[in-house]
Amino acid sequence: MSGVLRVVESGWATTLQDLGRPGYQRQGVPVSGALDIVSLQLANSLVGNPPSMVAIEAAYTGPTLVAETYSVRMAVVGTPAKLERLPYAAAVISKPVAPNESFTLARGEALKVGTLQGGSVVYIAVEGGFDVPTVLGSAATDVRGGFGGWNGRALEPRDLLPLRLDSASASRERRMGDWPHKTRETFRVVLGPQADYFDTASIKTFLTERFTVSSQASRMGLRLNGAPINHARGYNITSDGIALGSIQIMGNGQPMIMLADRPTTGGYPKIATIISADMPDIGRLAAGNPVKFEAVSVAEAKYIREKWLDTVRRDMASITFLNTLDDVNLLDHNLISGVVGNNNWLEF
Amino acid sequence: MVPRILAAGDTALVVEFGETIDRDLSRRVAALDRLLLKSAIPGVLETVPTFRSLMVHYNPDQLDFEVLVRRVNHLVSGLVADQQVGRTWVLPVCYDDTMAPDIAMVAEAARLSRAQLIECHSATTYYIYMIGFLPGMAYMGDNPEELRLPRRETPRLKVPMGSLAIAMGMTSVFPQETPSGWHIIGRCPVPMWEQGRLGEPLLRACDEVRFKPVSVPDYGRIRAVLSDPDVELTPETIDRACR
Repeated sequence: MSGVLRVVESGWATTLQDLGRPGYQRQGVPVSGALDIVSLQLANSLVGNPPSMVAIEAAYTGPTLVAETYSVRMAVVGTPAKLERLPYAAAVISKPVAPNESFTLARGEALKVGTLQGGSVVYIAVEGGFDVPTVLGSAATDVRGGFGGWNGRALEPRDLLPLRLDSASASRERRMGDWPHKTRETFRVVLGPQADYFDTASIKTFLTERFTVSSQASRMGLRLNGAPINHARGYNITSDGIALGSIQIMGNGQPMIMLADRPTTGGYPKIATIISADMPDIGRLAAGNPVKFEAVSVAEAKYIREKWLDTVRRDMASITFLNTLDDVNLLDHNLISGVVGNNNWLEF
Repeated sequence: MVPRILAAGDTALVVEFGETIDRDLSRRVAALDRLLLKSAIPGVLETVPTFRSLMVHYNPDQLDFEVLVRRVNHLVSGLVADQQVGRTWVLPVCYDDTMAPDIAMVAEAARLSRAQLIECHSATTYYIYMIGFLPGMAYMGDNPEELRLPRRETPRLKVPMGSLAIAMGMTSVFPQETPSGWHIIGRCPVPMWEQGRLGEPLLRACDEVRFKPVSVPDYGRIRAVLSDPDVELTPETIDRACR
């Protein structure tokens, strides 16, 4: 019998996510998957997993999880939050846990992820991953469809998440350089596909105004507040496909950025689409965060994407084993390389 | 008529044949979809056919936007509207008040008796324009003129799985429980999308559907027969279950 992680507190909206289930949108099946695919892949790499493995995604406030297994190696990457390690779930004393490096909980110890600061999502990867079935090739939770992940729903207190390993491997802990993402305010978009549903003045409003993420923000999409954007030809269009990062202008003139759990089709005009390189940062936006848009061409987006992928590869390659005294010795003699990051399996 | 090709960010594009709901447009979308799948262009990840456009998701690291646009334009130039006929389904529907919370209101708005409404809705052959919004949710049209009502002002937070719903020109059977602003006029006992059993949705774009009124006891009986995971769901097995 393998071990489990017991959920003591579930957090605000905590789900299991991987890179989602593309390929089934023609059947009406949403893609789902991690809102910040870079942090997910870094967290997995820190515990020695393939980067695309299923991990816990927590939003706004994190969970408290108890190791009910011999031992379990974990890593937390994403929006900064207070991370504590408790000798048992109800303990009053705690030790801080560093983000961006792996650590191992012994049986009975708990990880407590507090309130996220300045953003909305963080990833908790466990070595070996969770023993949950895949649905249409992915273990991502589709909450609206009620399938995938852990019983097709967000985690609840008393859930027992089955682990694939019953103890941490003998590997040393790993760490990466500083978490690479800085909070940003300006996001790049390609105008369209329905920019022609808006007049020049509305496009100008869209590209110059500062918007704020509203409290109506979920894995499906982020509603923004700001100066209304007027539709030139009404706000009902014949439904068509919705790409990741698509920005719909709703009936009230407010934008909504469509995220991983978006429906496959929809009937609001889409003024612009966030470029792929900026989506992980969009995925971490929280209610209250400011947002501005800057238009780029598809060719510029491709160039930005290439630069972005280079930095992601560098971050992955920055993962090293934490050195012990012996290692320092060996490194001095050039006998081992500290670099262990493996980006062969990176997927975007 | 030449379709417009529009960028949807840097990882998808839209081939837009028009802006309206029209069977000829829908068949052209289906034809391009089939051609694109057949040409298996490296870097094309998936295609999503809708009423009037085809969304093509691609990997920009593998396939350049301009190259893809040229390939699509080339395919479009040789396109003939898909004349391929889909399958024909006769789906049982129970229009009883207990399963049709909006039927009285819809009948009143349409100035029809309940019986006339059922007759009117079930005498129409519907064409499936697209699958979307929810796994396996088919947009079928076109509703008879009398039954074209705007959506409810206040959407219901929970509509049961299998609900037969109408709004504007469209009819659908909800594959799962969902919030919805559509008018519920019946319930269908045939599963539309059962993860793990059907593999893919029951209905496909270009299929045709008619609805056959059944009683409450028949609804229960048909549902029991078809919920057997060993029963394959085909137009024939559904027809047999209805007898």
